Amino acid sequence: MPSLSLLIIAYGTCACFGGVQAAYPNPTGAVGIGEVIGKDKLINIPGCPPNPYNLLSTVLYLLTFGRLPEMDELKRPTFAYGRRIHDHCERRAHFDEGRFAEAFGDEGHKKGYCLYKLGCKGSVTYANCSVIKFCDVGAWPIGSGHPCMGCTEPGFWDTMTPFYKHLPQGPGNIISDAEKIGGLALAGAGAVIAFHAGAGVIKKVIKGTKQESQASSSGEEKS
Amino acid sequence: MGKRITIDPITRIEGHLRIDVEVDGGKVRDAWASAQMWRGIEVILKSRDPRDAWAFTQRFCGVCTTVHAIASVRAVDDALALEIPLNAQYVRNIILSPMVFMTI
Repeated sequence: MPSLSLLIIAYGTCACFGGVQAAYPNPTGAVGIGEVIGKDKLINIPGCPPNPYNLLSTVLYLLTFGRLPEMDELKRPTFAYGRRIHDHCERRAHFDEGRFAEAFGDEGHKKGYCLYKLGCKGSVTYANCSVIKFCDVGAWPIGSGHPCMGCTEPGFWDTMTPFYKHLPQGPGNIISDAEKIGGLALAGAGAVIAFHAGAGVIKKVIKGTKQESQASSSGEEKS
Repeated sequence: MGKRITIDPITRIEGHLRIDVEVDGGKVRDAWASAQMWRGIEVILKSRDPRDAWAFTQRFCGVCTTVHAIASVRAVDDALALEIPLNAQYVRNIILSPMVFMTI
């Protein structure tokens, strides 16, 4: 069948990467379509649920231009999966300022602060949910106060769980934020700090270090 | 022994369902419903964070997703003997009610 088809669109994380039944220990040996038919003619549109506009856009692209859209190494169209949830998140400003919800229903959560500490995986998840959202009413998990589960990434049932625990390591973006804010010097240490507290603390550390260095240099002048 | 009718798979549902009906003299004598596909969600759930259970369980079905999620949440509540705050109960009912309209 694949040889007769022009191409095959796998729609949803189960079709693309095996999905929930492929989660550890994968009792039935479930795999994505690419593992069965090869990836030459494949377009993956993952998500659990996948966004119907990404399917529609892919089909429209094919019909309009008569060629495949640009895709990443996971065969996802980059127009939809080329950027992270985090890059366009409506709560991003809170992340950058270090304002986090610490628990569901707490003051920060009520104010719409960043959900990173509640387990949000938006910083390591490539998808356009934060831009096009769902159901034509602008609904999406983070908008409703629930962390991103990373459902467009392969193996997310294992790599993104526990869902309500924040990432075990500082994602690259926190380091790059640190770069923007205060240069590379603290990036290594910053990544470790980010694991515990996020970018706001990095900022404080950087500011603090500047003040300290000023203080120490002025101290030297005195001595 | 009457006639046996088998409908497999039942369409318009997520997953797989098979119905066997035994008809005798124009009347249904017996009927069986069976799910013919096993994905092992119960095996996959073992040793995981109980707070994640609902997300796995609700993937049983893409149509009646929410009822599976709520059933799973209730199972965890029950296992841990948790008392559900009134507001949480309201939220659950609000989540469930559109589900009713969606599936009829």
